Amino acid sequence: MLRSIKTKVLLLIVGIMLATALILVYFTKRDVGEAVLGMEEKSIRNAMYLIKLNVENEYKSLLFHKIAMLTERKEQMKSLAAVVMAGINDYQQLAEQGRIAEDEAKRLALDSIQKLRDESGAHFFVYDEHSVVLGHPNPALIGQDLSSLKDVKGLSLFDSMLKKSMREGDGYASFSWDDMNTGNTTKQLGYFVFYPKWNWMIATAIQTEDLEQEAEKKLNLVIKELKSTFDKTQIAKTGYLILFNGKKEILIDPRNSADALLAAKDPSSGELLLDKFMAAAKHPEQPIKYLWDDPSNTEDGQSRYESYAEYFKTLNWYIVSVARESEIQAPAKTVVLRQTLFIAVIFAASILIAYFLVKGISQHLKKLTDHAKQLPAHDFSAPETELPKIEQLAVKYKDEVGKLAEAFLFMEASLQQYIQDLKETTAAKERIESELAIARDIQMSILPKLFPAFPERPEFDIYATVKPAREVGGDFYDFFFVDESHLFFALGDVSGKGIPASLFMAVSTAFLRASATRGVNLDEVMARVNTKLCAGNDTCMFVTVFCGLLDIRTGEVICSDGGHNPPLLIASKDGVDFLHARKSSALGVFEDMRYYTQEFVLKEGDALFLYTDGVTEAMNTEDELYSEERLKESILELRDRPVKDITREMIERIEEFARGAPQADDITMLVLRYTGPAS
Amino acid sequence: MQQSRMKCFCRLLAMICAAAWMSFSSPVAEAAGENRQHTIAVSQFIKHPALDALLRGFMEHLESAQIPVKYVVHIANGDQALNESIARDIGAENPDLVLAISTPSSQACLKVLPNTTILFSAVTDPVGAGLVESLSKPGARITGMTDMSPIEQQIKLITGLVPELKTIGVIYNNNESNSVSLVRIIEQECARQGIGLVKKAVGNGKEVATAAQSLVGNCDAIYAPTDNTVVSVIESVARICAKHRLPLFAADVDSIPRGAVATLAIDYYSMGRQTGRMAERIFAGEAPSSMPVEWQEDLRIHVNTKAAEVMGVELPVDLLQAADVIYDSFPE
Repeated sequence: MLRSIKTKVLLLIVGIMLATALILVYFTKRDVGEAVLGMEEKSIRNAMYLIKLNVENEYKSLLFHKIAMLTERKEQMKSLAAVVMAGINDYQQLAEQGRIAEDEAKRLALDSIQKLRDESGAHFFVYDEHSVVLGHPNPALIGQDLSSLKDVKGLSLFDSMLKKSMREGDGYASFSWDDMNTGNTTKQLGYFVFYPKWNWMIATAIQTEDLEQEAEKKLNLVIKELKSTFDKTQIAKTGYLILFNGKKEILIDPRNSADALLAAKDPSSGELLLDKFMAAAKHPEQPIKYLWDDPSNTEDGQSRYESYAEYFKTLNWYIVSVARESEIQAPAKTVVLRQTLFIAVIFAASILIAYFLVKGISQHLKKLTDHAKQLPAHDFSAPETELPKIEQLAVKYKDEVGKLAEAFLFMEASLQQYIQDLKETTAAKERIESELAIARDIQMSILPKLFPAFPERPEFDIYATVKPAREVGGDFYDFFFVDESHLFFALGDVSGKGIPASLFMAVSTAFLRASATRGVNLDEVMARVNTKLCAGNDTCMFVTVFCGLLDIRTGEVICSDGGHNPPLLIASKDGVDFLHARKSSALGVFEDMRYYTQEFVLKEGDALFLYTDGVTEAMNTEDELYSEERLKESILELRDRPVKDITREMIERIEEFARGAPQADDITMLVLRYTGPAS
Repeated sequence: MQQSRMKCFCRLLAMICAAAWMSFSSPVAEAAGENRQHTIAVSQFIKHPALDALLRGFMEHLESAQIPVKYVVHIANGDQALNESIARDIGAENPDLVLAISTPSSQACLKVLPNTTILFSAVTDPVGAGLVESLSKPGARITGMTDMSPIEQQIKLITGLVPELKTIGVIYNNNESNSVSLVRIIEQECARQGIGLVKKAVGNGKEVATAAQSLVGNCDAIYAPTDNTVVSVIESVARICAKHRLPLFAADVDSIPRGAVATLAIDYYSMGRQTGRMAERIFAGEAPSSMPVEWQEDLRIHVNTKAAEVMGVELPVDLLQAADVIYDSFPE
């Protein structure tokens, strides 16, 4: 299974894609997830920060409102005091003008001051430079020394105001006043003016409890406004903000679960949630996590929550965000999930595409493989048989598959052509071979092949054999009686091989036969044949011939050597030796050559061994020649054997020597043994 | 030594020029010829807004009283050696009156000048500093004003503004005898009111910020007494306090616009004017020995709403109502 390229490529692609997908998912989860979670947490912190800014602004406006109220109140007191001063001045003027006595004027002035009450609740009193009250709405105080009365700075109120007013004209002071009627201590703001003409200190006092109350009201308004802001502020999906103060009074609680919140504890630590929040406010940038009741969680009614806390120290307020941890993490999880899904889809799509792509390629390869497998069985000589269509692959695809298909097509075409050529060549060769076989038959028919050739002649034994190197050869032998007692014998070797040589050999044999007739001398025979061969020998072929004429009555032999190998004379008594007759030139080379003859006598039992150079120059695989020495030794061993055996044995020996090396030249042998005159 | 004398001399020249201009600015008195021109040598230990305000109040009072004065002002830059050499220089100048501002200056002048009349001001504890035998009967030729802070009221103010206050932190220079005296009183007062106290002593202005930083987390509010070293760098303390939402309270009014939340304190300008009235009396022929040591008659409440906001202090209506001055600024 793993061996197929398709599987390997697919596995590789799946591996790479899987690794990439895993890395992507990992980094998405780590970086994107954290970034989105961070953004979510930051948005909560930003919301908290905005709320805090809002609170700060509200507080600032509250503060300015307080200051504005005070300034207004002070201005109001100042103008009231001016009115009072004007009244006193009127009485003083009357006294000065002498219309009334000064004491009377003072009494009337004090009376009017005592009765004076402004709708804002301001009242007036007068004291002298010894801190003794001269006039006051409360008659019980008149005549009392109030120098022990201290202001909020811890100074003697009357004395310090006297000094300040003397120095600067007027002054404000804050002090507490024990109301004699109600017994309550009230906070008062006083405006003090010195009236130098009578050395009086005129004080305008007003309760300021209402200012506190108004500030309180304003603060409640701020809380109300904040409440609407809190209602609009969404933390995560269903989270919310709560506001409580350092005394653990819940000020804003959008879920109306104040009581539950007060008693809520983190089950893991047993700590009160509010305490936890207050502690967390020291690190507003760090969230706290805890377990809390969650009605929407049907499983165990509890969920993990995450909160940020901000402390607004000025008002001792704590602003806390409450949101389920799962909701805060949800966007990050969604993003990670979406990214992961996206990656998974891309992964699957890529694998699918890769699968089809690889399948497509491998399919073509398989087609080509199948095609290639069919090739050996295909008969290319029959063009009409059809192979699987791969032409369209070569046409359709320009890639490696197309090129491979093209190569297949080219190979097929070449094979077809080659087989066609081969067929033709083989036919031609077969024709030539059959012709050669015929030629060989014809050639062999030229040579006498019937042995024993002359069974009626006991005087001699003759045997000859030819083993051509090819179908036809240039070697030949021949023997025939020229008259009743003379046997002509010849052995020749045409230069070259094959058909030309065989043709030349046929001509040579024919000429020899024609020339060697009764009464003609052997030299003349050779000369005649030479002349005939030379005539029109344009191919410059020639033939070496050893021929002889045996007188079967006496054993006398006349021989002529036309450039041939020296024959072996096998003497029945003296052994074997080469017969070195006088050499003449080969036939067919030069016209008008003279051929020499030689005579010798074969004794009874003596024999002549004629051969061509195919014997002595037979080569073995080590390029050694069979050589005349080996020939001589072999013939010596074989000399007593019948003539037929000698030639057969010699062929065996030569073959044995050649050890399988191809026969380079025709091998022809002729043995003639003279057995003696007929009795 | 030679160098510091040169420095001193240069500064002296500058002061004489300034004084000359001031004396020309009251030509009426000159022309009348009723009042002889007086020479006042001023020895101020260190330059900081409260003491500067005091000197300004002093000069303005005498100017408004039409008393011609020639001033020679010496400032020791907080250097004890220079402080003593200034005292010697003053001896050579032979002025009609020496105005010694702050405890070290007063001590040096009393030690070095055997016969000159000395009027001191801004001295926290004149008896403890060895300047006078008693507040009611000072000495033959010395009297002046104490700037003893109304520590009880100040601490009450702090406890009123910081709910659940348990511990107060205080920074002071333990080389300033006035500060040491103050801290002793603060300690007693805190003990009386049942409040914890963390003291951080410093040697110079550079150590103040470090001391303030070390107080963060160890106290619920910082109280800066009328310590010359601490007040001179009060802004750096304010910044640290703002960062950690730790309320900072001062014992002088000039520290309020410089970043402290509130104070109930002596107004040094007023004190300068009051000291000027004492000088006026001396010039009129009253004997210093018969003039008891005076205390600032006017206490002022100064509030900084911005500082209160950044340090997380809610300002109740009655404080705002009692405030003489309300600031809304914080040092950058």
